[in-house]
Amino acid sequence: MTRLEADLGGGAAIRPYRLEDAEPLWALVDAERERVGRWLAWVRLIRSLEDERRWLEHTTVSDAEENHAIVVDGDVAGGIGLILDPLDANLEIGYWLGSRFEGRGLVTSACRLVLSHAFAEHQAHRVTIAAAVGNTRSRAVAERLGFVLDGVARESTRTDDGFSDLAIYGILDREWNAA
Amino acid sequence: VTRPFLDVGDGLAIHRLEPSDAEALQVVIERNRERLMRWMAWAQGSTVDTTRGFIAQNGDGLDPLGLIADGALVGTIGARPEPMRGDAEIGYWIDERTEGRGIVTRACRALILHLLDDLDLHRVTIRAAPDNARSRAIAERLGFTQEGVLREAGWSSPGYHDLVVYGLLDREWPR
Repeated sequence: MTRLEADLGGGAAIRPYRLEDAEPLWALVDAERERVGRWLAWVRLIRSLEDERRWLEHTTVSDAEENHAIVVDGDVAGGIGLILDPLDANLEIGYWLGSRFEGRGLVTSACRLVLSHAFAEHQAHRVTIAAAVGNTRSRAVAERLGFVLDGVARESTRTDDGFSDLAIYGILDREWNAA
Repeated sequence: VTRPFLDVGDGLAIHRLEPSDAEALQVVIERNRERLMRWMAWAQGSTVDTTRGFIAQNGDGLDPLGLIADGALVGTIGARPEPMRGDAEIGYWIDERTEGRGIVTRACRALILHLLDDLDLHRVTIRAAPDNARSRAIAERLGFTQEGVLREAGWSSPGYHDLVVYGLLDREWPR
């Protein structure tokens, strides 16, 4: 299945990650480490440019996930990914954005594209978003997109602050298509 | 061919499976296929080849492991640890002939202890369809807390179904 390459308007776009993204991606992750690592478990695993390279080598060829860079004027601004499911029953979206790119609706726009792709190309029946309960910006994206809160998995992710409850949101294909 | 992994006691053990165990496991799957199909996506198309493949892809992982009661393979249990999140999901099924003896519950206790103590995980998750009463009863008997219902997140041969999510934290496990 092909990854997405699409314009988000205002000089922003999403496109598949490339191995050449390693240095700018590492620079952004490292600069945003404290802010993003407060909510997302993977940040603790990226401790060097070499870790970032290894992750890119893995994700750019993975059949299990489709990860994309969010770029603004050609610079890496964040990321959005789709975790696939062999049965196409339940896919998951995850995203993050550098602080100076926040507040322009980039993640919401990128999510709309990835959701359309998930339902149209993968024939997903459901897409899940899981966000730390205190991550209000992330949760607002899910709620704005019409996701329904299905439950809260207690202490089910590990962040820099320790264990955190995860709010689990879902949207079904018929709900997306009706929206 | 199976190799002992966790001794549960009282004639029950959890074993590691080898691809050469596929034939023996498939015999149990075949006579339970109809009831497994109701809950598990893999059961409908299960053949000795898919079962061998499932065992082979596990490698040194924990899914699937064999349930061995009085020397006989009677089902499987499995765990998928996610160390990054400190969580592992467990799943299980057992031959109808050996149901009702508490085998799965006891095996789950041994596996959960391994996950929390040996692998140092923080939490264990069980997901079950709302009307899979036996599976849910195991989670509840083990002290798991119901945390939500993922709408239509599961698929089995009758179609999509909801999944009830249960969680248990390390500090909640009786020791």
